[in-house]
Amino acid sequence: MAVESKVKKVPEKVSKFLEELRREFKDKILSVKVLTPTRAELKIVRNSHKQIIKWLRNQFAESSYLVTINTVDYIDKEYFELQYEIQLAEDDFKLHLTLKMNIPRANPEVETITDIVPGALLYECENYEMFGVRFVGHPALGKVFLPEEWPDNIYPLRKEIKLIKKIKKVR
Amino acid sequence: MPAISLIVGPQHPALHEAERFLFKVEGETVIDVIPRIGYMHRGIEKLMETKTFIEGLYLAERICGICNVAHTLCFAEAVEQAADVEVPPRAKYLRVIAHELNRLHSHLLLLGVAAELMGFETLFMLFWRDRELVMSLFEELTGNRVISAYVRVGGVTRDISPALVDKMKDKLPKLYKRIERYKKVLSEDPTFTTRTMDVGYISGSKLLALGAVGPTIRGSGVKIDLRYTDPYEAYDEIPFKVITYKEGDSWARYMVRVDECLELINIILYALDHLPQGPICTKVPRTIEGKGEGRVEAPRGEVLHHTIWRGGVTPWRHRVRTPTYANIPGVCEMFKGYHVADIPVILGSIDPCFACTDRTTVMLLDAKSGTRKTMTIGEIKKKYWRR
Amino acid sequence: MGKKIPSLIAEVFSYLFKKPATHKYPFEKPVIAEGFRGKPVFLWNRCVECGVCEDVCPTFAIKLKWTDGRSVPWYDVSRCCFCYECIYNCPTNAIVSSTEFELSSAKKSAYEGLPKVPIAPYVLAGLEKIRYMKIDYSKCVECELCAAVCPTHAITMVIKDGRVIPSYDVDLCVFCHKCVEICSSEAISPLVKFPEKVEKIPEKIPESPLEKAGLLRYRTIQIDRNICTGCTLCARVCPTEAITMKDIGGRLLPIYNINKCLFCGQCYEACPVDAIKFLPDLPPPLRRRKSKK
Repeated sequence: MAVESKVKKVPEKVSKFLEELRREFKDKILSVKVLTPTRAELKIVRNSHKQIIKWLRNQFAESSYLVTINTVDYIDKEYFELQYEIQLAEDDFKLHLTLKMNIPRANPEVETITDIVPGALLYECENYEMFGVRFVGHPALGKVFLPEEWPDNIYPLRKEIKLIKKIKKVR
Repeated sequence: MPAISLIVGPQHPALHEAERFLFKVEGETVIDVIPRIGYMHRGIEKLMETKTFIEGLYLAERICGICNVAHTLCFAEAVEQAADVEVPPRAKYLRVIAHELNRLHSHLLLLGVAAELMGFETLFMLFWRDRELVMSLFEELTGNRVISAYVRVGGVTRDISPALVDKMKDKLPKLYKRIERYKKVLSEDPTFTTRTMDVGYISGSKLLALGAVGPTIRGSGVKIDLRYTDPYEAYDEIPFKVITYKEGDSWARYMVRVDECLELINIILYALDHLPQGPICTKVPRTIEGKGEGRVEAPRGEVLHHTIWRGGVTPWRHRVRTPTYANIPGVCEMFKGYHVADIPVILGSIDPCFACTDRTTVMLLDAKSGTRKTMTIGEIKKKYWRR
Repeated sequence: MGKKIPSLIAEVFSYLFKKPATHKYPFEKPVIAEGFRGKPVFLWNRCVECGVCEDVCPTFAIKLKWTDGRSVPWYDVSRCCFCYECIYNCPTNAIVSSTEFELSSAKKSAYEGLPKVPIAPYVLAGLEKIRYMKIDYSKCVECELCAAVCPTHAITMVIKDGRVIPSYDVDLCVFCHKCVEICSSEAISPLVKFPEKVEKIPEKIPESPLEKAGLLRYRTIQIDRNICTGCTLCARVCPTEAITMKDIGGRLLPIYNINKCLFCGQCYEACPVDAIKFLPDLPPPLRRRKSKK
């Protein structure tokens, strides 16, 4: 498990922090990739996101926030990819971390993080509404984003849902 | 005293856009807020999957009219990262100039509107007259007053003329002096300070947990600014200071914007002095494979465009996260404990842009037990809308 | 408050003698900035009917329609978003900008109007419309200039039979003639007639003119892994990252990617143990197959 990187010069603090993170969660982190001096990407085991985010929020209580939660639908590989994006911003150490986690398409269930980060409330609702990813333990998961008349079990951003009218044939 | 529900909206509590807030009021004091946003959901993320990047750029521009340069810049950054294209240095500086002019016009717009919300109409007129100067400079640079269409994927559309450089160097210092005077008015005048000081207080660590961004969080003393925390374009070469205020009330959030106006005029003047020579656009391949993440500090906070291309001429997934969407949980906390008359001032202090947000939510917060539950609009109608 | 009054009086008096900021619009024309993006103007006598403007238009305001024997772009003002993408992309400058902004009209038909279509530029010159670009591979010197200037990626470089040659896709071509103008060996020529058989690369490729003249280019790098010490010098000097280091069976070894290579020779000079060799031809699987006769 080596740190992959496209960047020729990784700052010392970033590499030190990533080593510490890997020591803390030895069997939870699958791979680490440094994209730019201020951005890094972690692949983690399913349902380990809660511990890692809790650890990060405790470590950087006054200087970190959850940027967003994002889902990507890989219909050909039969899984969803959940991305938790966290910004760490101290005066001399800045890093944008992306935690990537695969969950099976047949049973998309993950633990909620709203009890650690209350700001995740809207993002989790959105991902449930658009992709059908169920967040276990979320206090108010339901039909919230789309109109009330929207039918159940149709998640608009999934790949099997097609637009009714194809806008334009691309050459 | 029993609580009364008070509905504000869907037409304009603060700015002229469609959103609705249901306030639970005890006497004059707000104890609970239920936001219902998303009257402008347009399905842009799904539509983006059918567009090439040339068409997608102009769709991204229409997510928000006022911060359009931030959205196009963010889209272009994401696609350039995915295609592994490096933008020429002159284009980077020109992008910075357009981006900062856009921010200046947005901040002046909000400060004018805020003055109007407080009944200080003279200041509103003065702010908007100075905004006209910025708009005319912006028109000469990009070719339009608001929707600029200035940033392209791979560069910018047109070059800056030497005459316009001279004009900007002449006009902007004059504007600097005027804004300095407004700063004095805003920090001393009782019409403004009594309405905003100690109104809508929230602490920085609470805002961090709620995920707020931009001037909202900088008004509570947290030093987070993407131009500084995750520099894009030419911001790592340009010296500037991040504005923070420790007070955490509405006044601090307005003053962050006034101070930013002064700081960004310095950024524009620095960029005009250090404009490198060279081409302004590069060629981008038609089919792209890869992923990119564009993050830009828009006038209201952080904009994020996450794009994933798996070959082909259209993206596989395009995700947009806008600043007001992130600030909504924060502003709901700010209302609690203040008077009904403070609602427009507090809402105005986060500079809401609901066309940006384009999401729909109904949330119910029970103030006494602290639990949250969701309701459909039908249930809310039954429960609260007695006709 | 009393001290502030003098400065206020100066401001009041300065504005007493100024013109108002607003102007009476229909009677007084406003001053339009020089670079204002108004209605784009189509010059049909320059148009070569390539259809790039239709392709790039994000709001579908431009459509090619068959009118008076030509398929010219029809422009709908009511759909236009004035982004000027058509102007930046037009290969013959047939669309020009204007500062016209008074576009309102009572009838929708006024937006889509098309004046009398002038005669096409190629008809005036006594020519027919170009339908195909022919590439003469026996003249091509593999300089890759045509692929660099092509606006629609119709010409791309591929490796076949031991040569790096341009492949031409007629479906993407807009006949802008940029490749014809830039080709230094006059290998590309426009055809009026559409050929019977369309193919991106011919099956048989003639011998390169460079090889005939004995000017063979160095086209491959061979790395001897037995000599290699794994010092990573070659990967560090490589400008295009064609050589990358990878851990194979406990040894750090260079991996070479020919598609990224520029054949600049820096790795050859940097290698301390002379493990890198230059060969005057492509590697064996990409080499020209000798026809069995």
